[in-house]
Formats: sequence, structure tokens, C-alpha cells
Amino acid sequence: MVVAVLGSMAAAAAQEAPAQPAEGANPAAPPAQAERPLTPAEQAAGGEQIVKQGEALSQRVRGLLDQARKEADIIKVTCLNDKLTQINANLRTASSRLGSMQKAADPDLRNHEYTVLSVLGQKFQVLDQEAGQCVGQDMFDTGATRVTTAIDESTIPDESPTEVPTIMPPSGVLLVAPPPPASGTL
Amino acid sequence: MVLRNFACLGLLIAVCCAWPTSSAHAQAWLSDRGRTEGEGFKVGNLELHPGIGVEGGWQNNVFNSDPGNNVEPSALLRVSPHLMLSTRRARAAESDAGAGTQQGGRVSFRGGVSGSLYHYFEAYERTDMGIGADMKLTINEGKPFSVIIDEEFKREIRPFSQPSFSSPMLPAQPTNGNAPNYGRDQNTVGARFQLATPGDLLKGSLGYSFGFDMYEDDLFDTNNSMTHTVSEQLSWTFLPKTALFQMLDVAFQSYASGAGNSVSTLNDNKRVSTEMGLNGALSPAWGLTLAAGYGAGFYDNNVDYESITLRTQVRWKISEAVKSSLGYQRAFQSTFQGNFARTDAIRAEVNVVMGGVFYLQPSVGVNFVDFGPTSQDGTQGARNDIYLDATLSGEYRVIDWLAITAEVAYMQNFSEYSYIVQGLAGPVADPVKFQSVEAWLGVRAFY
Repeated sequence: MVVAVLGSMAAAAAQEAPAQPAEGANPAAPPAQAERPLTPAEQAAGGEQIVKQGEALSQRVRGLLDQARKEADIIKVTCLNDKLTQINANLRTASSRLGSMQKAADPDLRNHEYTVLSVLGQKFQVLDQEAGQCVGQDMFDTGATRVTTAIDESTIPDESPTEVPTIMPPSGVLLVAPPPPASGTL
Repeated sequence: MVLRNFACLGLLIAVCCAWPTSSAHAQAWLSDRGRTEGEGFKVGNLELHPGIGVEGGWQNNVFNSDPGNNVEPSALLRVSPHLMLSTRRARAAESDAGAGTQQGGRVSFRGGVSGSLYHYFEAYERTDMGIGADMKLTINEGKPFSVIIDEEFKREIRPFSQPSFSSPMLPAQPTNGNAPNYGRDQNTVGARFQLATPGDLLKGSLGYSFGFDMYEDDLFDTNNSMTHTVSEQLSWTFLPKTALFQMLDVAFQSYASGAGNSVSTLNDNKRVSTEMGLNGALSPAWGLTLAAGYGAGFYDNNVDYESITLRTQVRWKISEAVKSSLGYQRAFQSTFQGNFARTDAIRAEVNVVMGGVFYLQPSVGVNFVDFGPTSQDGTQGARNDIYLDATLSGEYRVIDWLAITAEVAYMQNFSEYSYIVQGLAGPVADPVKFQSVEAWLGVRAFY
């Protein structure tokens, strides 16, 4: 039990730890967070921006999915459908976290919710890139598997398996000739 | 020119890659279609391949006479034109079949006609021309259901028995001082319906053919016969290039007349033969045919046969230029004496290509031919022939359409059997044993 609790804590720490250095690269994250703590108003604005980013992304990918369905491109449809599912799931989480952050009176809890929103913002970025790859998927896709067999002709036997050879004398050899006439006085 | 020579070399190698086939033609090159065809003329969807060969030769025993009975030697001239034609689809199908990439088509045709004019300078034998013609029409080739219509005609003219005037003991025959007309016309035409899976891996066919065997001279026309044959074939092909096969033939043969002018009686008959076995490659270098079957013949005089039949051949591709084969076959065939004959044939052959321009094919065989009980038809004793034959044929390709050909052939029948024929002073024994040597040298051109 102790091990499990410690493991969970370690995992949570590991999940949150990379979010801090990456915040600077996140356009959805408020700037200059590393220099000073964000005010509640800045955190609320940043969180709303992340949710809007997710909604915009969801809308755009849905449009791409509709287009792919019209083109009956099953590869794109499958890929975009997968990305849209992930985007919407993260969007629901982001909306929930945004509400929790806005309601939080405790600064630590608010900071935690904002950190989670920042991570979700990064996931939206990644999903945006992946959805873009879905559209260009055919450039990288090898298509349906097709097996091609190459035979080294030098190893093909010189045989005609359905032509059974005759082990008989060669041409011009007549083994069973008609007998001579019985009499010349016909 | 370099390319043409290269094509010539390729053709020669391809020709020599083919395992030996038997044919009614006496010339080695006519028995192998690949050797008769050069670049050819393209006319629409047809390819035409003309050619001609001119040879001089010598034969020590024109009439296959026994050694003690006026053996007639003669110098000979042989002129052999031929014309082969085929649809391009048929050619492509043969190539594809070899590569295992056969494509389907609607109709393909292969046909050809050839002649062999023989002139004997010194013997009594007349100048005459042998003819060979064949055609094969395949409808829906390469498809699951196809129909094959084929026909083969041949006219053989070379002597097979001694003319009576060459023996002082025999009465003259009504041939105006010439040897009899040994012309023998054989024709077989048939149709086959074939079902096959894609790629011809599993293939089955059912067919019917009608054949006649006619002698042009009245002296031999009692041997004329007609044969109706119903045949069935199945094969299953698998890797590397091997097949299990099964064949069944049922033949109904009827002779034109009774004993008539022949020393023996001829009986209408029904024959059944079936065979199962394996044929094809064991490896790129080794091939094998191994088959066994059953044969039975039922004759109107109730002198019948039934026995197992065997066929085996081992083929060894020593190198791309040297191939060899050794085989044995036991088979039954209807004969003009004793109803039938059981033949045990052993044969060894080698094909060699030297320098890409010289082709050499030695062949040697021993054949044990045991006839049915000859006493049943009024002739004398049991007849057991032993034939030894050896052939050495070669060809030198001067250029891609011109070749110098040469052939030496030896044959001997060691039989102790003699026909008893009516001579001037009573019955006369006419031994069937003989010894024959012939040699040919010539040139042939083909395109």
C-alpha cells in the first residue's frame, strides 16, 4: 500500500514536473510566469484561452473529418476521427478544470488547476500537429499490403510438369513395322 | 549484328534447354519446333517461320533387309522445306507458361507443315515425299474453361520391308519393276475440353480423337485401321515445377478388312490404359518422371493382354549447356502381328551446346519388343525383337538463320524370328533381323 501511494505520488510529480519548463513555449500560457507569479485574473484569462484554443481545434478537425468523409478517404477519416475524439476528451477536461480554477479560493488549488490547463494546452498543440499529418497521411501511407514474389529465373527448372516424356525411340525408328505381303502373286 | 548473334545464341540455348521430344519426322530439327523458328515474318497477329534443309546422305540398307538377303545401299538426297505459323498469343503463352506467368487469351493457334523429299540414287526405291502437318487451336486459353482442337497428319514413305524382286526366291510383285509404294498416311484429329484453376495448378480435361492409319499400296492396305479414342487427364502442379498426373485412354480400333494380303490376321480390339505418376523438377538441376499404370487389350480372337505399365526418367542438367536424361518405359501397343507387343524401352540422351553455336545430341536406346502369341494367327513361333539404336546429330550455326547439319544413325534388330512367305519354290523364311547405318550432311536455312 505504501509503495502504491508513493508510486502514485511519484507519477503525479513526473506528470506535472515537465509542465513547468514547457510553459514558456506555450502560447496559451501567460507570459513571464517564470519571472513572477500570475495573478488570478491572468490565470483565468490564460485558462479561457486554452479552452478556446481547444474548441477552435475541435471545430477545425471536425470540418476536416467531414471533408474526408465526402472524399470517402477511409484512411483520413479513421485518423481524423481518432484525433477529434482525443481533442474533445481533452476539451471536456479543460472546460472542467477551467471551472474548478475559477471557483477555487485556495491559491494552491488554483495554481494546480492552471498547471493542468497548461498541460492540456500543450496536448492541443500536439493533436493539432497530428491532425495535420492525418490530412497529409497519404503521402506517407504505403497503402494496402501487396506481396510481390520475385523469382530468380536462373533457378527455375527446365521442366514442363504436365508434359510427360515418352521414353521411346527417336524419330524415324519404327519398332513395329507391318509384315511383308503374304504373296507377290496377287 | 551483335544483338542478332546474341539472339541466335539465346535461341540455341533455349532450344537445347528443352528436353528431347519424339516425333514422326526423321530430321532432328523438325522434331523440335523451337529449332525451326527464327525471327519470322509478322503478318497481323500471325508469325510465319519458313525454312528449308538440303542434305546428302548414304544408307547401307534401304529396305531393312536381313544380312543374307540382298542388302541394298544407296546414296540419298533429302530436301526438307517447312512453314510454321502461330498467333503471337500462342508464342507468348508458351513463354509465359515457362515463367509461370501465363495470361489468359481468347484464341491461340499453332500450326505447321513440313515435307521431306527423298531421292534414292542407287536403290529401286522411288523418289517420294514424306509430309508432316499439325495444328492446335486453343479457345479461351489460360481461362478456367478452355477448348483445344488439334490435328496431326503425317505421311511416311521410307521402306519398312524388303521388296520381293530384290530376292531371287520371291515372286515378282506388281510394282512395275519398282519397289512398292511404302506411303503410309496417319491422321489424328481431336477435341479436348479442359477445366483449370487460375494458373493451371489443378487441371482436368476430357477429350475425344479419331485417327486413321492408311497404306497407299494395295500390298499393305489390309493393315489399314481406324481408332476412336476417349481420353481423360488430370494434373496438379506444385513447386518447384512438378506435377502429379493421371491419364486414362480408352481406344477402339478396327481394321479395314480381314487377313487379306497379310501374313498375319488382324483383329479389331478395345484397349484401356491408365497411368498415375509424378513428373517435373526435384531441383533446378534434377528432374524426374515416375509413373505406373495398367493396360489391357481385348481382341476379337480373344488373345488379350493385361499388365502393369511403367515409366521413369531421370533428367540431369549438368550445366546450362549440358543436359542429360536416362529413362525406361514399359508400354503396350497394337501391332500387325500377334495382336499386340509389349515394349521395354531404355534410352539415354545428352544435349550439348558448345560455344553457343554448336549443338550436339547423342542418343542411344535398347528396346525389347515381345509380340503376342504369333502362333494364334498362323505365323511361326514366338517373336521377341531386340532393337539397338544410336544416333549422333549435330548442328553448327554459321549465322543466326543458317546452319550446317550432320547426323549418323545406327540401328540393328537382333531378332531370330522369320516370316514365312510364299516363295517360287514353296514357303520361304524371311528373317526380320537387319542392320542399318545412315549418315547425313547438309545445310539448312530458317527464318
